[in-house]
Amino acid sequence: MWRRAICMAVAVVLASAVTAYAQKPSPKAEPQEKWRSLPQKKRPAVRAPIELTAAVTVPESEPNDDAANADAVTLDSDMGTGTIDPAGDEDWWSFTATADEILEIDVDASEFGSQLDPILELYASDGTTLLAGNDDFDGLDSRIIFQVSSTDTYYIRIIDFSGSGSASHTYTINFNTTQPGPGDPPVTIVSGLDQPFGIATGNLGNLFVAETGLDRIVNVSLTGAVSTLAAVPEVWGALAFDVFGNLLATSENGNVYKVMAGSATPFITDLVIPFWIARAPDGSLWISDIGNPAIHHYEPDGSFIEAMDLSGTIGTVGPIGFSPAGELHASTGADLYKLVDGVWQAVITDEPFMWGFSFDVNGNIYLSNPQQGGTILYSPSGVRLGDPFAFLFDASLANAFGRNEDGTWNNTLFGTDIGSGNVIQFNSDGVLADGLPLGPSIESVTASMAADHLFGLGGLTAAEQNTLDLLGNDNGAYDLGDFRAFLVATGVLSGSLSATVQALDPTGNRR
Amino acid sequence: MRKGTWILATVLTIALGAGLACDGDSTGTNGGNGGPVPGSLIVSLTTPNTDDGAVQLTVSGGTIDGVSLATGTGYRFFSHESSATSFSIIVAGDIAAGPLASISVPDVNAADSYSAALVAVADRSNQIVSPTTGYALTVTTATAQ
Repeated sequence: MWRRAICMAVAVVLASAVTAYAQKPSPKAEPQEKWRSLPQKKRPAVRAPIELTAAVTVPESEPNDDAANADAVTLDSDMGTGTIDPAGDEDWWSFTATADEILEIDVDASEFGSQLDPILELYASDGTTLLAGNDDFDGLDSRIIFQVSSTDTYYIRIIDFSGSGSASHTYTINFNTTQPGPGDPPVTIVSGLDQPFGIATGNLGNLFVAETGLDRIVNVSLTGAVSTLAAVPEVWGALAFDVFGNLLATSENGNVYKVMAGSATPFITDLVIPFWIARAPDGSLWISDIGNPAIHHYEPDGSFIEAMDLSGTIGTVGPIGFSPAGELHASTGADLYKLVDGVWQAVITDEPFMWGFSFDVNGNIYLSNPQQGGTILYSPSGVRLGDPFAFLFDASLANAFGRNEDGTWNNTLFGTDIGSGNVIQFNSDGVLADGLPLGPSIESVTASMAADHLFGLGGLTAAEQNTLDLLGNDNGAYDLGDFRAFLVATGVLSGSLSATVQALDPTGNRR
Repeated sequence: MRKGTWILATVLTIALGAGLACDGDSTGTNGGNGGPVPGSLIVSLTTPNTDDGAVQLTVSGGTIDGVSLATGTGYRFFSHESSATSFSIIVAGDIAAGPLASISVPDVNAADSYSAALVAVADRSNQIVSPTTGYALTVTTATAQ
């Protein structure tokens, strides 16, 4: 599912981005099966049907096959009805919008049993400049949310995905405006990247972004300056730091790479298609494998611990992460689960297609979901708090909280837009709390520091001691065995940490 | 020189030489006349196990000029000078019985005044070894081990 979902999401996201969408092949040239084979999507449980606000029904009047012959409607008042008939027919609508208004144009067809698989496009006043497009927002039906920059006439074009048409290709279309979400408006931090996807925050507040189109990871400074960190073959979904401060990246070629000193080397190589990485409270690494219905668990040094087979439970999962309670959360694409005492419990259900998510310190979940309208905010128990949180930037597949220059976490939230090539920052006013620190870190600990602490000189923080203990013998105190484990994990000593592995504890706490 | 005088001188020379040799130390370090002989002492481990992975110890006694890893061991070595007469040491690796550390002292003849104490032992699975029954540390002169 994730492979197809990725393809679809990228395509959908591309469809949401003007430039990329304009480059999309003609719908008629697109293999229909590619889209038809995707799981059917359902309407969000919370979002109210938009058409309820419409009061006046405006039937289409053929010919309305271009901007010049568009049927005029009024925003927040009219609901249009029409039929794509015959094959190849296209219907155009026009309306006037005021500068800064946020349009929410929603077409319903398949939902009511129509044969139409609508594609929706928004054009500027010249009738030719494509501003936005969408396919399959709500099942096969489409929706566009777009903030206009000027008071002007705008045009909507509706066509069938496969170019077919008949008297059974009926639809209704709602022309509404809406209010921005609490995380809106976004601010573009970086533009011009080639399909940015995975994102992680460095300890100086800088961002690391997987630029999948160029097979590299870039470093984005606090001032927005972009530089290449390292080339990573087929890098894509996830970036994460291990406890030592090394950046890890998943690759579509099956490897997880470790980036050190500007170069990437294979770090974990026993997965089929590694997708997402989550660092547990004990510093161990959990990696989802979309080539298998499994999550694999590794020591901080990459030593394999064991695999959690999901084939009999929740199936293949994509993005994963740990909540403040230390509970592993995993997304199947449509549902988000958490693992409690070895049992998967549903947190969010029936909301395809969920992508990357981040927790704030209170456990609120900021979940990227382009097809649900952008980024959705949920309580720790899965209740929608923002509806959505932010949708003016509706193409995010991954997000990450920001950090200050001193490494502390703050309430800035960033997202990558694989379609437009942008990295954006959400409106911090809508973020409920600071970001959840991503697990323990001993990146500043050296062997000499670790030894000196055993010599009674101090120097290690309580958190660092705890992390070293978890890395080592996990007996509740930092000791000589933990020091040895640290030497092994950092390559000072040869050996493996796997000998210290205890029974799998999905909460990440082995005690 | 008369023949008898020459013979006497030869005998005296041999006798003096023999006397010097008998007065010297066993390491061959020439302190001469019972004075201090700078050199190294070796701290060695006795262990009942074969999977020791790290040893923490202290050495103390008289003045210690410095400590270092025993040559030829290949272990990793960490130390801290607690005072002029005491050092803390950690040796890590696939530890085996035998030399762990070398102690530079101002007088190897005072080896008996130095001692080493075991602080902790970890095995190669990073577990703390407890109790440490059967473990011992000895301090000897460099050539007496």
